[in-house]
Amino acid sequence: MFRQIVAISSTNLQTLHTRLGASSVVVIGVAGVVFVLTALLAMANGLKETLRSTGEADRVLILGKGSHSEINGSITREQAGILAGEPGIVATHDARGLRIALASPEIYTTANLTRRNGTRAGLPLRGVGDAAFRVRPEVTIIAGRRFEPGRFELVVGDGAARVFAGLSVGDRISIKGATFDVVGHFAAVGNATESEAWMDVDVMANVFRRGPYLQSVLARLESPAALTTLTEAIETDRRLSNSLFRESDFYAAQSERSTHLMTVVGIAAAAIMALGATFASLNSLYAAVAARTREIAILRALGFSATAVITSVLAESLALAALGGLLGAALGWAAFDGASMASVGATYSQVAFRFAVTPRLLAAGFGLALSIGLVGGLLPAMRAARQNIVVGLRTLV
Amino acid sequence: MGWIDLLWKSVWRRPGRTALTAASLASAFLLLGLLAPILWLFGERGDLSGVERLIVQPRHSITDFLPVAHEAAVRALPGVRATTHMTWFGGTFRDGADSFPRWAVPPASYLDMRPEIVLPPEQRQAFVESRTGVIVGRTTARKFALSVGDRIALVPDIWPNKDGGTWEFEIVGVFDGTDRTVDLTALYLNDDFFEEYRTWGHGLIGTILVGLHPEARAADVGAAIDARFANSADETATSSERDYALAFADQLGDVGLMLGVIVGAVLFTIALVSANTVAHGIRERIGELAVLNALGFDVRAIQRLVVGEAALLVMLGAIPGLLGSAVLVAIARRSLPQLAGIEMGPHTIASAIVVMLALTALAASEPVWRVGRIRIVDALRGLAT
Repeated sequence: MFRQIVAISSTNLQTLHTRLGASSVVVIGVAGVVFVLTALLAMANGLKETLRSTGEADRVLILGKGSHSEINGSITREQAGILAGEPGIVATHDARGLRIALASPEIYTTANLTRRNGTRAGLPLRGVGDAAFRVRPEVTIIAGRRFEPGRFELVVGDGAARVFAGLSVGDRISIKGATFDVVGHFAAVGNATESEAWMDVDVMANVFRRGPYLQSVLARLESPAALTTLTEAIETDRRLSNSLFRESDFYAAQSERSTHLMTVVGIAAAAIMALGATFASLNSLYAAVAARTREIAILRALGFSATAVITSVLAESLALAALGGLLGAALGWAAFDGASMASVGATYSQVAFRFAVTPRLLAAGFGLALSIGLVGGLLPAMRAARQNIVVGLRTLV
Repeated sequence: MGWIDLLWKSVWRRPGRTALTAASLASAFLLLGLLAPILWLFGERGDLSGVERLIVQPRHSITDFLPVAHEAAVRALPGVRATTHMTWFGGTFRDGADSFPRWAVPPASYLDMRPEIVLPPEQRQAFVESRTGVIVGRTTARKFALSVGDRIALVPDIWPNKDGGTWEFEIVGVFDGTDRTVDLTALYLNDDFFEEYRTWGHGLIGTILVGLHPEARAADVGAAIDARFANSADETATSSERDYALAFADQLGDVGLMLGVIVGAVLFTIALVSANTVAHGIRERIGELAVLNALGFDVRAIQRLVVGEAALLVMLGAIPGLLGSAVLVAIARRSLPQLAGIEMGPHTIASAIVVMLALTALAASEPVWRVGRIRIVDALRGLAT
């Protein structure tokens, strides 16, 4: 039995080249499906990972009560001062023994600038003080220097510099009628912070007429569990009224929202294409079986079992689909892995990210390819096995 | 037997194969019909011809504001008939899980500017006269079981009020719309009350709406508005309402480009696959075509038959596919807020027709060539297959 299967299957596979037209239909169809799936999901994956890796479990984002995003936040400077003194937030002491909390009061908005491709889009702008760098140790200056307090200077994330034109060190840009010098670039291990530009918080408050309002405080917690302590302290402090978000949860939610559309479109497109490819491969395998009617009948007359015949047709179909899957995944990987692009993150601003073609994604694509091969091969295989031997032998080739 | 009959019979010569080919073509056209309108969102914009209203936004950022004095300056420009403004209020309603847009507007001038918002006269009167009155769209009213006379409270985010608590409003009207541009999920509150009760940002507004004189040229007025504020701290960007509604597409950035690449890949794949299948089907029947030739049909007529057959098969796939995508587009428009602007317009139909013609040509060309050099004797013997 096993020898029968091997014998016909290998003959089938070895003679594939004689059915080049019909075979290539299956291969190309499946390759197209896997390519589209790989491309769209690698895009969603890349954006998702970039956003997700931005949040840390031991950092807390504090916004005004009722706010769900930084752009809607409002906290007074006075409240920010009180917040820094609450329990649960890491504090150090400087040389003179003064307490310094690891809490960074910030302003956040977006500025429309010209992208390298000529369109206009939002650059996230963050007004920060020294504390921002202490709270986010992953941020390192990779070119130039930090901005100086009180001056109209910008440091630009590496991702933002990739997406927008005119943000090289030494460039000058105009934001809201004020001119800023780009004095440095920073990196942040590839996370979404790298898509931002930072300036002095007081300068920004003036330029954007924020009055006494800040938008958020980002603080480092003594431990992930300290969030509970801090939340309780803030709730009982009558001077404060705030919403707290663990930073990792905050960005995880944002990454779900931002990639939802992409994932839906990607999966829908791949599913519809997969359907099309399944029909196409059914077609060409039916044709292949029909062309070999007499050959199959002879094999059956010689005593080859129906199972062997079914297996051989399935083997052909799966081999073609696997070939297509490999081709599509390879094309997708070659074309997109690590490619840099930008899309909208939270609040109408650009997040730069890289495509991430992961092994899991490749496996998913290959799995889809094999399913198409299985479904596309099964029905023709059954027809091949069920056909009447006597009628088949009489068939004119 | 007429030509049409002959064509129909040849197409269904192998019903199984025809059905499968049509189904695989249908899925390709389903995708085309779905992705082309999405792609269209990323296409050319900035066309202001035939536009009756303009939207003036802060040029620097969608989250920025304009001084209220800008509105008077805009109204003084030639070609401007009327102006009003709207400011994003935000806030959280109940637990915030189900959000809807909330805007502060001057009631009278805003409703005058947008006659497509339908509100009973007495409710309009109440909205204009009461400071804490708000109007909500039919959809939101139904969803949250709100009706005229109900009180609602919003927890502020951007705009804390002078008492440091929630903003309390009374619903004085529920509006409908005469067309799709009316957002029936929105809530409008009175700008006077908002201006007085907020703690910061006095004198700042979000967006100015401009109504034009019928004879004014929108492009000229738009350029004049932006020129008026050029090189100030509050530069403006003026666009049509449609462009304003589609601004999200610009932000999607490279995703648009990617979708283009993917539509290309899909079409390439399917074109190759289905053209091959159609051609294969015709090739198999070359013997039958030779019989027709022997019966006295001339070669040209047979070639026309082949082209007709390819075209019919492509249509058998394309039409159900496109109908399916019309349904999906309508669903996507409702369920994915980012895609609210998509529609299956003439551009989609036109591109689908181009693809249908190209597919027919691709599928028919090889069989047509083969029919041209058919020799009856060979074909009848089965040698030409």
